[in-house]
Amino acid sequence: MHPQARLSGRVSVKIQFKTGGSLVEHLPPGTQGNTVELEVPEGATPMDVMRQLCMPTGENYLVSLNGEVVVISERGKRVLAENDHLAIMPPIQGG
Amino acid sequence: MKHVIIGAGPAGIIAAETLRRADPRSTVTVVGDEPEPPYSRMAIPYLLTGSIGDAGTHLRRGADHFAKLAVDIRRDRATGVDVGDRRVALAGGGHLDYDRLLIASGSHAVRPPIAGMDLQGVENCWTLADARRVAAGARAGARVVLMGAGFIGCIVLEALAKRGVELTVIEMGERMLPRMMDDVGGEMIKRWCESKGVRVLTGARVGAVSAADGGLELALDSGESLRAELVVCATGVSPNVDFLADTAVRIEDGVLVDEYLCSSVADVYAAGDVAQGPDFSTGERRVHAIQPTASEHGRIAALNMAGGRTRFRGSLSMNVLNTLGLVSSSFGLWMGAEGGETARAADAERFRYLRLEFQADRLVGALALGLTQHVGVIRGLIQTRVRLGQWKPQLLRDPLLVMDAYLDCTRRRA
Repeated sequence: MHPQARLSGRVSVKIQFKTGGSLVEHLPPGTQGNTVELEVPEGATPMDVMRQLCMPTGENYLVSLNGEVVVISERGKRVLAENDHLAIMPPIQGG
Repeated sequence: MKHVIIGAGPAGIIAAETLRRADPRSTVTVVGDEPEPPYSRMAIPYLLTGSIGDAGTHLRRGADHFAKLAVDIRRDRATGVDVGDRRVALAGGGHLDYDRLLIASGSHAVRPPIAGMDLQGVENCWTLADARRVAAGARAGARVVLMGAGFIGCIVLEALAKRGVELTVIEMGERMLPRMMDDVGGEMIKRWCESKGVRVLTGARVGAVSAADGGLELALDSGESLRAELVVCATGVSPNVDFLADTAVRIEDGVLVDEYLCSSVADVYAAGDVAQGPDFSTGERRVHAIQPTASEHGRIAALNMAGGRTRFRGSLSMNVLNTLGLVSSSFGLWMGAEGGETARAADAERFRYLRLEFQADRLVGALALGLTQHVGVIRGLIQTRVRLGQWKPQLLRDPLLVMDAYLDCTRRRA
């Protein structure tokens, strides 16, 4: 849990989180595959999730929430709710 | 019927031509935002080596090709879609109304979040405009750093080496081609490149890029610093989906489509790099940002937009690559299938490697290095899902018998 969340006594929400490629190594130890249930502090945004997982917080990811694109300017603003499906996908190989 | 296609790459252009044939009385409009006639990014390496000029990259010959087909190609960029009113908003201020829409907006090159990646002399190599800037900077003898040794990186690597630059390749992963080769193959390709005078750093990260003495300086996490006149960034691509942000079109890794290439919204289809469609090997939906998939998506989406009901059987993840004369290829589930079996044959001295992956008695994935004659056979065995029967134990002992197995199994099926 985010240290500040613990201090302020806020509760957390559970989300379904999916990622891919090299970002999979940032998932909690023991995760099978590329999808995991995450507990995040109430009020957390996609950007907070990236920080929680120690992902590089670059702008070069594709972020979607419940099937909707979250554009760069919204990634630190959109608040996650219980059972949300968040996907943060790194760049892929073209060819 | 009004068809609108967003994107003028291979998926969009093949869709436009297919629509013209399948729905002759319709109007077909293609919106593309690059200042060139529709072209193929796959031709860019040949442009860099000087084997072809600009015109050689164009998907179709003749200035009036699209006019003759009554396909309207517009230079503009989609900024939004109103799926209720069936209207595409354009950056130029106008809009296009549609009955059926194809999203074939492709992908864009992305740079890692490193300080200095916006400096002059740091280039992508994704569009024709990028390629012209790379060509201008990659003069013989120039010091060039290539960031990223994935598929695109390795294609660009070959072109840069042929231009006679002093080349260093930096790959973050532990091996070259981390998403298309295992450690055995990746190591062979690395040694091959080194033997051709290319410096290859794997498991290496650039911490920062800065301007120095009229050129660039790259500080690596290892403590080493490199000087370069040109930095070429080939660290991956990401689908162009931002303009769909306020629509009901479902997005995950790309635009989610069903086996008819239709999105979650009726009459809105997607094809190519932007589409997350059925994968041949797993049945799951994946983005395969490769040209064969783009072509097949474009054709099938168009047939369905024209009122047909053609199923897409799924795209096979596949790459064939020539790195300074060493041909490598990867197919399907090359990293192995659950409960499957693996056969390997490697000859490091002669730069040859073959890895086959089986599930029950079918071939489901493969890697090949230095074995060009096996490419068609392997692809055929995977795509036709041929049962190998008695051949499987033999292939587990000697995977190089794959050619004999193919000939025997296909003869029996015929």
